[in-house]
Amino acid sequence: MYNSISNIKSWTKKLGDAYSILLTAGLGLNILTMTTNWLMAFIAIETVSISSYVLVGFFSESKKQSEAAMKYVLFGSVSAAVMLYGLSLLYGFTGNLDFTAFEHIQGLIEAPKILLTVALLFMFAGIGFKLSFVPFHVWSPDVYEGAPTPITAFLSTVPKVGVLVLLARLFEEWTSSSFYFSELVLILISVAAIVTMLAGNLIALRQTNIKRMMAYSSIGHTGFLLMAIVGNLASEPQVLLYYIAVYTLMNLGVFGFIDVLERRIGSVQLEDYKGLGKNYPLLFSAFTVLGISLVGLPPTAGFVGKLFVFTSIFDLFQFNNNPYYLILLITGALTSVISLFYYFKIPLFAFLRKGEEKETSSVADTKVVYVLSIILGIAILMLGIFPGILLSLFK
Amino acid sequence: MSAWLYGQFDSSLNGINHLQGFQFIEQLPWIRLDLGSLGKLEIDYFLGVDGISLPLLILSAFVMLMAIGASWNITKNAKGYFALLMLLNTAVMGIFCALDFFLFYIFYEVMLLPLYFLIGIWGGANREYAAIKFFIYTLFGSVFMLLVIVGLYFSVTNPSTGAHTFNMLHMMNPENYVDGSFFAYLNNYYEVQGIPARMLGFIVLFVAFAIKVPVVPFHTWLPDAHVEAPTPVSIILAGVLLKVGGYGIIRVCYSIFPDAAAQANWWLALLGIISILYGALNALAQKDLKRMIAYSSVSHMGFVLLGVAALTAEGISGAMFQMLSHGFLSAALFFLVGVIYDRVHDRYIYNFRGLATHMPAYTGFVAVAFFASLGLPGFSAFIGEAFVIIGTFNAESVGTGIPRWMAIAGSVGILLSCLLFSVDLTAYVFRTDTLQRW
Repeated sequence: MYNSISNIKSWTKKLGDAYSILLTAGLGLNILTMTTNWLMAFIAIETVSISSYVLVGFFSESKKQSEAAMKYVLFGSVSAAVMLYGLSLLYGFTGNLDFTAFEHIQGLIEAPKILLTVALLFMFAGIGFKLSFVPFHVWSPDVYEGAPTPITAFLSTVPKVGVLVLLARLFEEWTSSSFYFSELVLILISVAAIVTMLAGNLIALRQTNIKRMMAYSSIGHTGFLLMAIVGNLASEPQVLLYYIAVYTLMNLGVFGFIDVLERRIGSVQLEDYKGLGKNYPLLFSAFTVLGISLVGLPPTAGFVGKLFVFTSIFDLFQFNNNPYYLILLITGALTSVISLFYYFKIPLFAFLRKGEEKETSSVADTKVVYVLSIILGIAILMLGIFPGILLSLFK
Repeated sequence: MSAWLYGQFDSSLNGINHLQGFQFIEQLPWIRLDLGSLGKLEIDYFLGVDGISLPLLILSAFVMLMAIGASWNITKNAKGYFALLMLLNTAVMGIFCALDFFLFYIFYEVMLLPLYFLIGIWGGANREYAAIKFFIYTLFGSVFMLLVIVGLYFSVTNPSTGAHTFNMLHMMNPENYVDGSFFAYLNNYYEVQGIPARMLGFIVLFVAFAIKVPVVPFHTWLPDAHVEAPTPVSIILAGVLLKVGGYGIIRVCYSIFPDAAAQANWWLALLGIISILYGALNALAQKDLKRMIAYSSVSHMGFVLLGVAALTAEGISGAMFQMLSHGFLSAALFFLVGVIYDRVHDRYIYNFRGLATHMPAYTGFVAVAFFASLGLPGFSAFIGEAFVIIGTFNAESVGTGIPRWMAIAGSVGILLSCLLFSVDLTAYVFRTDTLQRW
C-alpha cells in the first residue's frame, strides 16, 4: 500500500540494514491501519517511530544530522510516554482497550470529565506528534532538514498516513457516540486543522531551504488532511483515501526531485536553483506540475482531492450549519492562495531568474529516482484528469 | 521551429473557428464518479456556443493571431513561448465554450499558469513582481469561486437523472434547485453574518470576475502586468483576458443568481461608474504609454459593468458590443505601442514629441486607434458606449433601480477619455518643436 521504499534505492551505505528497518516500519504501519485496539495502536506507532529514529540517525554524517536525529528521538519518546500515560488512564476508566467496543464508550461516558479530558488530551498529544500538527510540529522542520532526503520523503508521508487512518477511525467512532467529548473532538480537530493550515503555510513563506519549506508545507497539508478527516464523516472513505494517496505521490515526487538536484548541484537552497530550468527543463516542468498539484490547482490530482474535501465539508455544513465547517472551508481556500507563493518559488528561481553557468554532474545513480519522480509527476497529472482510476480502486 | 508552430497554430485556430461558427456544438461525456453517500459526481465535458460566446470566440481567435504576429521578435526560447501561448489559447477558448461549471473553473485556472510564465519569463524588468501579483489576485478570487461552485453543486440537481450536477444550464433554471439547500430559491434560510446565502454566492462570484475585468478596487494588478508583459501578451491580456471577466459576469453571475443581481445592481453600477471615472483620470496622469492604455482599459471595461448592471436590453447588448470593440481596440493600441517600443525601447509619452514628422503612416494608425477608443461616432467604441448610456438612461424608467445620474457620470467618463487621447495626440505626437533622435 505504501510504496516509499523505491526512493531509498539509490542510497549506498549499508543498504541491507536500511531495508530491514523499512520493512519493520512497514509492518508497524500495516498493523496501525488495521487495529482498533489502543494497545496495538500504541505498539504499532512505537514500531514506526523507533524505525524512523533509526533511519534518521543511521545515515547521519554531519553534526546537524545527528542533532536532528537526537531531537527527533527526544521529542518522540516524550510524546510516546505521554501517550502511554493517557492510555493507562483510559484503560483505568473503561477496562477495555478496543475503542470501538461498547464497554469502552460506556466507560468514557461514565468517567469523571476532568480526568478524562486530561487522558484524551494526552492521547492526542501522542497522535499529534506523529502527525506533526500544531502545536506538536516543532520537531519536524529540523528533522526534515537534517535527515537525508530519501528518509525525509519517507517521514513526510508514510508514518503520517498510518496515523491518519487511525485518527480517522477514532474520530468516526467517537463523534457518532454520545459522550460529552464527542463534540469536543470535532471542535478540537477543526481548530487544530485551521491553526495547522495557517501556521504551516505562513511559516513556509519565509523559508529558503527547500527541505525546510517542504517540512512546513507538509505541516500545512496535515491541517488539510485533518480537514479531510472531518469531511470523512459525510462521505465514503474514498475521499480521505484519495487525498492521502495523492498527497503521498506528490510528496514522494517532490522529494525525489530534491534528491536528484541535491546530488547533482550539491545544494538544497532555493537560491541555487537559479536558472536551472534551462539545464533541466523536463525535471523542472514536472517539479512545477507537482507544485501546482500541491497548491491544488487544476488540472492536477491535488485539485481533485481538494475539491472532494471541500465538497464533503460543504455537505456537512449544509447538513447542520455549524460555523466551524465554514471557517474550515474558508481557511482551506485561503491557505491554498498563500501556499502558491512558496511553491512558485521553485519555477520562479528555475525559470524566471538567471543564474551563472554551473558545473552539473550527471551522476548515474540518480537516474532511477529521476525517472521515478517524472513518472510521479505524470501520474499526478493523469489522476487529475481521470480521478476515476484511483477512486474505483478504493471502492 | 517557431515558424512550424506558427503554422500549426494558425490552422488549428481557423478550424475551431469555422466549425463553431456554424452551429452550436455540444459534447458530453467526461467524469462520472459514484461517491457513495455524496451521490454521483456529474462532471461533463460540455461545450456549447451561443450569441454571447461566439463573438468572443472570434475575437479571441483574431487577437491571438495578432499576438502571434507581434511575437516575431521573440527569440528567447521560442519553443516554450509558443507552447505556452497555445495553452493559453486553449484555456481561453475553453472558458468561452464551457457550459459545465467544473470545466469552466478548470479552464479558468489553467489560463493563469501560462500567463504567469509568459509574463514572468519574457516580461520587462520588474516581471517577477507583476507576474506573481497577477496570479495572486486572480487566484484569490477563484478559490472562493470554487467554494461557491461546490455549494451550487449541492443545490442543483439534474432533472433527468436526479443527481447533483455542475451543469450551468441546469443551474440557471430555478426548478432544479433542491428545496432548503444552501443556494435554493425557495425556503432558503441560510445566512452568513446576516447576508443571505444567494447574495453571498453572487458577491463571491462577482468579486472573482471583477478582479479579472478589472473593476476599480481590484484593478491594481492590471497596470503592472501590462507594463511588464511583452507586447503580444499585453495584446492578449487586454484583448481577450479582460473579456473573460465580463463574460463571467454575464454568463455566470447574472444567469445563475438573477435575483441577487437585481438586488445588487445599484452597487455594481456604482462600481462601474467609479471604474470609468477613476480609470480615465488615472490614465490622464500617466507618463508611460502602456500604463496609460491599461488605465483607459479599466475605464472602458467600466462601461461593460455599467451596461450589465443596467439590466436593460440596450445596456447588456451595449456591454457586449463594448467588450468586442475594446478587444479589438486595446489590442490595436498595444500593438502600436509594441511597434514603437521595438524600435526605440522607450514608452514615455513625453519622448515621442514630433513623432508625426518621422513616422507619418504610423501616426495615422495611432490617430485612428485613438479616435476610435475615445468613442468618436463612426467607430465601434461609440456604438458600445452609446448603447450602454442609453441602456442606463432607460433603466430608471424600466425600473431596475439605476438612477439617471449614473448615466450622466458615464458620459463624463467618455469626455475624460476624449480629453486624454486628444491631449496625447496633439501635445506630443503632432508637436514639431523638439526632435527626438533615434
